[in-house]
Amino acid sequence: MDTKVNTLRQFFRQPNRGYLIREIARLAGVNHVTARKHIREYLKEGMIVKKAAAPYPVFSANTSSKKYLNLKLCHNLELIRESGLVERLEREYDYPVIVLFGSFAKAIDDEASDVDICIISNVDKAMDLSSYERVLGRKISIHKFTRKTWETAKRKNPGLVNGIANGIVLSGQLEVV
Amino acid sequence: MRFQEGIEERQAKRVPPDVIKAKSLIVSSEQAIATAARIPNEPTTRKSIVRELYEGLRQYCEAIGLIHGYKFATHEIITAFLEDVLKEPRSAARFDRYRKLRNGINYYGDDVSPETVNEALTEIPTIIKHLSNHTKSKPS
Repeated sequence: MDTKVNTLRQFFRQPNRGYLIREIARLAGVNHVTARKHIREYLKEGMIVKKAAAPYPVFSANTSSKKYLNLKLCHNLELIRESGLVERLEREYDYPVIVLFGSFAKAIDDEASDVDICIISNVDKAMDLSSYERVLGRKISIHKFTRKTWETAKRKNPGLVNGIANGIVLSGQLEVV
Repeated sequence: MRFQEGIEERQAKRVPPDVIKAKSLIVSSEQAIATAARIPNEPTTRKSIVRELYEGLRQYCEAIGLIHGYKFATHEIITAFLEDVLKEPRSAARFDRYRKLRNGINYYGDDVSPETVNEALTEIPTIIKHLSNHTKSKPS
């Protein structure tokens, strides 16, 4: 089971990239026969697609597959949990509201995407997030609001506030009305 | 955690409503809040202020619990009580935040920022004022 998940993990990290079977096998730490078997299963389930290329076909993520997106969302949330980022933000910002939003929260992110995180806290400090960025394999963009600026944003920047409200609350309770 | 789950896990139990004990707790709560307001807000006193304010809020919630016929064995179950029994999700979320802050202070030696202390000084009395409606309600 782990080797099957590991095979898929490569497609989560770089969904737009085409992989050769042997490449997937190397990255997932399995032999190419096992990788081929898993890829066949994922092809059957519609989670990855095969593209003709020379000398061998390549495989990439099927980003329109609901099942792929659901599993990628689980993967993204699990990456955040493993990184310990939420616990660190909670302690640094005195247990603020933390919301994951944007492409990472919708599982449509790729290697060029940021991990957008909204923090509502009156604590004013900056944090070095480079170690968490390495774990997530993505840049982290913190969108920091105080309670007062959050109220202002609701009136002046409804687009951003709606985007945040449609995200995933990782800590606390987001108040939109 | 849901409140019913907490009851099953004995984090809270049904007791006969006790208005007299509730009133004493409300007095203690008011004293704690007044004490916190009198402590000078300095780097060395921030943790004490938050602890005292939280204590005031917790005692007030314990009092409401007694009026409704519940006794709490953990602080976590109070969050579920506010949310599920009193139907006060906002107050529940705020209570839970201060509970975590207080746990951080007491068990992990976490610092509290001056902004959070100022916020707590205004917010906790507001939460208590909002919850005061429930001290008038009859036990269910």
